[in-house]
Amino acid sequence: MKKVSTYLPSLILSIFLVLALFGSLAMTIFDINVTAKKAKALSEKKELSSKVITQLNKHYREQAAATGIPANVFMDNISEEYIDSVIDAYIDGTFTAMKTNRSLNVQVPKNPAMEEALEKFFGDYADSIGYEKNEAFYRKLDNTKTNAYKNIGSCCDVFKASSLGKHGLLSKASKLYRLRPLLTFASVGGAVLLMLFILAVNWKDKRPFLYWTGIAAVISGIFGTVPSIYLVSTKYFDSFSIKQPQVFTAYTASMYRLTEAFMAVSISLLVIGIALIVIYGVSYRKNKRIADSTHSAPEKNEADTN
Amino acid sequence: MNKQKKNSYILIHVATPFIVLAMCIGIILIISIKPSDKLKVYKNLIFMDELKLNPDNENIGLKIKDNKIIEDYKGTTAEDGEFIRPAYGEMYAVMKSSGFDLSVPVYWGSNIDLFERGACQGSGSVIIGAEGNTVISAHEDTFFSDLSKLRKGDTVTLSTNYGEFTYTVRELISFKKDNNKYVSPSKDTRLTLYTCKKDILGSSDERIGVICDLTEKKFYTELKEDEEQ
Repeated sequence: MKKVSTYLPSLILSIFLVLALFGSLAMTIFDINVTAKKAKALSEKKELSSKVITQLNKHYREQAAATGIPANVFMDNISEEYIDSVIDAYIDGTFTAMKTNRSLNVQVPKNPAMEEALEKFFGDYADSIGYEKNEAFYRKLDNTKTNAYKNIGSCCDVFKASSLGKHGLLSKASKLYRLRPLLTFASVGGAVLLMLFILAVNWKDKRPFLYWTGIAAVISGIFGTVPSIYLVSTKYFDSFSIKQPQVFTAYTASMYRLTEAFMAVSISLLVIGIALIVIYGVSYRKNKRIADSTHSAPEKNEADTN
Repeated sequence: MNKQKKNSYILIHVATPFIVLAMCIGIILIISIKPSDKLKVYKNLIFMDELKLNPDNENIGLKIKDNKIIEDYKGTTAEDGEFIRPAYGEMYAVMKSSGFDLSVPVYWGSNIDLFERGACQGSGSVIIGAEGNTVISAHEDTFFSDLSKLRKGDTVTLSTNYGEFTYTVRELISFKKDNNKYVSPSKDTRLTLYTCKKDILGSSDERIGVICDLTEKKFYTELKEDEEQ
């Protein structure tokens, strides 16, 4: 701290250390929280399936006038368990696409009960009006089944993976997702390396190492904590204008969870940083006191002799 | 003297964290300008599915149709072939470019709802691959956010269900919105892409874009029945 030759390199290294620590923090949180397992757990916890059912019910009620198929033909056979399985299929499909950098390929699980109900409804209606069950009849039935699976799939794609895929964004997300381990390793490794450089620069008197690492930890902690507190306290993500309730809940709940995790780790880093600075301050004062007493002792002796 | 030295040490210790903080804020701001712009575009693209349901569509009779476009055709191709004419409101092509990050759906017709879904081609211009001026435009905060990045020599590929057409950027253009010079019919075969010029104070009267020459055309010759439909 006393010499420019150690101060300036330490200052520059600590700036890079702030960025490396912040990157490590972000990558670790991303690594731990962005998994298929966590996404499925969130979907279950937030009861997205019941929101999807409400949406589907609304859709089929509106469509009933145009198609002539009552909503209950579909809805009586769509359970929350079934919707959960479709949501899970989409989440698995999304993560598989990101891991393999292939396009999204989701097979909506079959619902034999719903298919049977549609067959019965179509059959009964055809019988009631004397409609011949010819090729056209079965084609219409198949179309209705296909569209039903499409609608269910579209409502259950709570993380909008299809939209991401459609505009080429899934491949971008995939690139980032596959680089995740490398980025985590690079940022954590970089942080460790920078700390070693700071230690090397302050090799003669190692105590400033605590100071420089401390301020880097405090600042990266502040960078993580302040925006997180703002986002959580103002309920920022609630202002998203997403019309489908299940998509809104899936995105906002994920964002809040990531932000809260980020905030917790940032606060820990802030506390560690403050602790390092305090340790440095205490050792600095202690050392100064010893130095002062060794300097003043000869003066005292000189005074005594005089 | 000693006291003065002591004070300067304290000052350095206190001021240093603020210096580091200020420099880091500067670096982070500079680094995050571009990604935050991109994030805005991505957010618009992902969530706009929810915004494009306009009940007025029912009244004006607009039927939007999203077709599945062939993008991995492996059959034989020919220099000449037949065009499949789209209906108004129909998605009939996907645009990709060496200078683009996105794949952009192209709709036949232009309307506020179609602009929410992709790039639009006014029905006054010629169909993709045909002789004349093919004019396509889109919003600058979504599908054409990267249009200004295109440079001379960049390629723009349009895949349709009747063929794949590659255009090469010949000229970068800029014009006022009421100037029809670039969007009028032309004798040569060209593709004109344009969007609004980015303006922080709202919509801009200036348009920017590119003119491209058709450099490669491949008409699909082995189409399945359902693909033709």
